[in-house]
Amino acid sequence: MARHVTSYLRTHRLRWGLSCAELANLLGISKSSLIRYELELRPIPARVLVACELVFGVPGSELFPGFYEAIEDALMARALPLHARVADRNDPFSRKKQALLEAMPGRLSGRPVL
Amino acid sequence: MSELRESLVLAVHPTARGFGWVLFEGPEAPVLWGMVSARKGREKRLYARFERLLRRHRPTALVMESFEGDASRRAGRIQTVCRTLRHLAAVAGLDIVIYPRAVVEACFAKGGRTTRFGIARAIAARIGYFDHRMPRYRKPWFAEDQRQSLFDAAALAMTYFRHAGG
Repeated sequence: MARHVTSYLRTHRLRWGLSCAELANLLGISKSSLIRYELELRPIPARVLVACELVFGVPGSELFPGFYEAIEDALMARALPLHARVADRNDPFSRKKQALLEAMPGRLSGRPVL
Repeated sequence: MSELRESLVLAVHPTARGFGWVLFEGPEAPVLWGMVSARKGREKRLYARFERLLRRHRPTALVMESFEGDASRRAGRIQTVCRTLRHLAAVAGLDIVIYPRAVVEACFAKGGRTTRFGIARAIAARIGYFDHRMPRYRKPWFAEDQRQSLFDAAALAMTYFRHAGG
């Protein structure tokens, strides 16, 4: 079953009793931008993501699981052809690349590998 | 349990001033919550907000407290609001679960917590997500605090998961 909730930014804001204006001020963004990030109308930039992690003490993958999943799916789809290219080679460079690519699924944010 | 975790449940508790709502994705995992208010005669605003909730979050089930029959003492206007919300949820394809007040109270009856305020305190202590919205103790001559509806809705959602989980 697909995940229902793809962003927990508003959950954490409400949990700590912060208004939109207060959190926007903390993150250094405008109130309208914050609402767009909460409603996922706009992808969250890295500097805001890091700031959210620091404010709430929660990893980005837990705050924005939908955003992470989209990135991970795209990344894994791009990794597959590269892995297929290096899989049957036995030179040291290819072995290094194989090890890197094979470790990638283990670094996904707690989801089963596609 | 994993199926329960993945079902998004919307619980609403209409009052004279509007309704309190909570969205749970697990037994003690609220995702979002809020209150909607509208003056008498402006119920369309309540329905529009409710439809927006359904559209935006796509819950799988709606949980409400029993509002018809002898056991319920809800005013005619609130009964109409409840019926309309139930209809809107049915049109959107949600499972609709309605619990009598006694079932909700039975879920929180440990330690004698059976008043609405007692249940609200138990929820605030157990979940801690909206303890800062805890209403003040209501003396008989005070009107009910609107924030109470938030905890009433949360109690309904927790009752749902308690029953769904067996």
